[in-house]
Amino acid sequence: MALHVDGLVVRYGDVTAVDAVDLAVADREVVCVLGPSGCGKTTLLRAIAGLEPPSAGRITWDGADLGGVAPHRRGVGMVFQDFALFPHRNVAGNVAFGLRMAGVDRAAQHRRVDEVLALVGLDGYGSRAVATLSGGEQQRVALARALAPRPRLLLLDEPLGSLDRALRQRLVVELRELLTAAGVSAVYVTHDQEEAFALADSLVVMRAGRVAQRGAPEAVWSRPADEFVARFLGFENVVDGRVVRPDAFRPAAGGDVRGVVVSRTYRGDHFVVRVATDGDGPVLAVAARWTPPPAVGERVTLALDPAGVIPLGSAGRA
Amino acid sequence: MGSTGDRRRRAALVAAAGLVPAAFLAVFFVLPVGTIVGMGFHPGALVDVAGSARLRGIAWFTLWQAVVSTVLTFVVALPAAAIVARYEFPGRRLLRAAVTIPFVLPSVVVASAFEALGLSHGLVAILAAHVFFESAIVVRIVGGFWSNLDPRQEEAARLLGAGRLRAFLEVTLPRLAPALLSAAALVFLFTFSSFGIVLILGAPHYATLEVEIYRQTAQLLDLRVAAALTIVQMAAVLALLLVQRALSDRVSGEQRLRAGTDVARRPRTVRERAGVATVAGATALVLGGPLAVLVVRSFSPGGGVGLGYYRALSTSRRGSILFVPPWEAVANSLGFAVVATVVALAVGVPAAAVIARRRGGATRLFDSLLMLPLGTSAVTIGFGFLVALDERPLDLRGSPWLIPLAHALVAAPFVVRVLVPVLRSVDERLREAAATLGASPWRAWREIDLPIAARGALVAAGFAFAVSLGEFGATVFVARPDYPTLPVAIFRFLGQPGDLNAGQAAALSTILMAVTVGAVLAIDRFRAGELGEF
Repeated sequence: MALHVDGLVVRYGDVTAVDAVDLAVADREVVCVLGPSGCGKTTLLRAIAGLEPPSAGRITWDGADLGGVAPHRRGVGMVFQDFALFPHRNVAGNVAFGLRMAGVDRAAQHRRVDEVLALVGLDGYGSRAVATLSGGEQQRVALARALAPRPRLLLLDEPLGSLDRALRQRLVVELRELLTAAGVSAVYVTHDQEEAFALADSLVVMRAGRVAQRGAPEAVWSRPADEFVARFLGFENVVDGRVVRPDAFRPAAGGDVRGVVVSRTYRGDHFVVRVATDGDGPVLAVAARWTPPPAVGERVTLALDPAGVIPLGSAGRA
Repeated sequence: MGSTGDRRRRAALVAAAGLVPAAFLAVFFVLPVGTIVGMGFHPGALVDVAGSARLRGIAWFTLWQAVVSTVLTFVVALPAAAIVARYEFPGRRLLRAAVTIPFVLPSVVVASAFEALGLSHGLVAILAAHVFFESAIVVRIVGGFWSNLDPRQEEAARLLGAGRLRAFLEVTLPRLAPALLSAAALVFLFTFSSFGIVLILGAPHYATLEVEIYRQTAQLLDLRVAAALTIVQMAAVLALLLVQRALSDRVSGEQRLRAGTDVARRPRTVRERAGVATVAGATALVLGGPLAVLVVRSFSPGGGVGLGYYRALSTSRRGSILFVPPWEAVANSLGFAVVATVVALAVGVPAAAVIARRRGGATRLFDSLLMLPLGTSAVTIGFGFLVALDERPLDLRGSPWLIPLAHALVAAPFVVRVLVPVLRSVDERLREAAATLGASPWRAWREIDLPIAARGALVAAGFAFAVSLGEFGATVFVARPDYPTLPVAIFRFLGQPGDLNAGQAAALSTILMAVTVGAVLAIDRFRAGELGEF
């Protein structure tokens, strides 16, 4: 069982939201689509669900074209941003919805609802009104609702986007376990690289409607394809086609990197200082793990560990 | 959505849903009105009307009294809408229900109540009765919409440095604009087409186009001039509707429904409490006063206290203006109201679904067409029914079915008006979520839009029921003497001299009021009962 997207294009008038995107999702694989807002990742997801008509390209499931298939016949589950729970139904009513549409009998509905609610850790929540749930609980209901009819593919559109950071970090771990337990293929859209790295079997970075890079998360992390991907992943020091990790610097009298500290930020176990290098050179972010950390205005001389310098490569590029 | 084939299927579905209201309109609106216009469209008639200074004066009066009535109505009703939407206070539910009552009362009752108050015939009486009548629309539409607005937006504006008034003007007012415009359009249309009030309280000096059409047809028997006036009236209404559509298009920011959450709070400061109490008290006095006078009158036979007028209702007196005991009018009215409500919903629900889903020019035209009966003179509709529905295959002449059909025609636009904003407020993503869970577009509508709209539909049904109970202008033409409705019976009694006739009119009015209040309270109970579990 596999999803294939070939040369997908989605246009709104003159705007091309998705531009010739290829995507493959293998059985039980979780593919994360990572990119800044407006890069077309949500549109890609909606096109897979059948909610946006493609302007060109093919979407197939096990070789069968989904082009003429209406959203409600695609067997695709979707977790929406802000969840889109039905306000007029309680938790059980939301979760049972897809089962009712599939004509599952009442007893089986009950069993499946209980089962899925247990899976997401909401046993006994069936009769609660969705308006009374916390954000995290609503997220779980949305997930349970999408999973209940056993979709062949699960689409998740920034499902944790509206939650606070601590909850997000906890739920992302749970979500990964849940997806594995449910044994479902999934496409997960997010702008948060931490979420993407925590969840993905395979990563697709999008920029302006196109795929900027794809590959295993560790491959993308260790070898960003270009400056855009590097910066999007949080690497601040991109100089002359190379990424310099903030950890690569250490104080050394004879070092090559000389400059003045222009700012200092506390990061819990270390400081990050920004160093304006001499001769109008680039401003570099340096993880200062030594004591005492350099103060703002202080001149520093640093040596560079070659292991911390990564050339931007097209190795993992699409 | 998905493919062009699917889109075509959906378009077919929407078109099919539009067929019921379209067919209903064609048979029971276009045909009767077309017949009247055809009957009287002599080349000279329009010239005659345009050349008559008296008729030009009537047209001008119709226009400016509607403007003044609308402005005065907003002055009186906006504060009431504000407190009902924003504040929790003792008697709030009662007030919310009570403001609907004057609106659904028959105009003849309101007119007689204002006569009983001692207001002499003339402009002041007409305007006062209009404000009394139409305030309900403003409180219902604006208040209901207002209570769904998130008060935190206004709070955000306050924190950004806007004063109370500034925050209202810059944040709340623009968001209220669709409701304000929609309410203003309705109030204007109703007062523009005012019939019963002006007929009774304006006599003999003031007349609207409506009243003049009635006089020309019923008293002067000049169908040619009546038809010409009808054309003028309908042209004006059409123009108004086009203006209203253009306005509402410009402000059609979609409002999210905050399902089930009541944002009202208790007034906190002394000033707030005083303000709420003043507005609530003044509203109660303005709306309750005339009705209280009417009720007292009904229990005061011959100047004493007793049930004499009510007892008289069960007997068919010799020489009475009704052929049946007046009590039967109560049963007739209730039966007609049930049928009219069912028909109005059968027509209005699919129409609202079509209008809410599609925004093309054809839909807008359809929308305006559906609103037309609302602005068309009830007299025209009633008379049109009589002259058009008397041939095979639709020979309904003398059939009691004419009454609920006319009522449904008048009520259907209300149903549409109530439902469209509710249906539009349903988040598109809810439908998409339903689709990804296996619901076809039709199933998604049934599962998502319909239940969420159910509350709106209940309110719409209540309106249709109340409109039917109180409908007068069309009924007076199609009601047969052996099937009188309550308003017709009241009108007949009011037209006769003598204390007993006036007393019976007051008694019947009180009964009608009680039935209406009951219906409205029942609706409000449903509204307050939230959506519950399905």
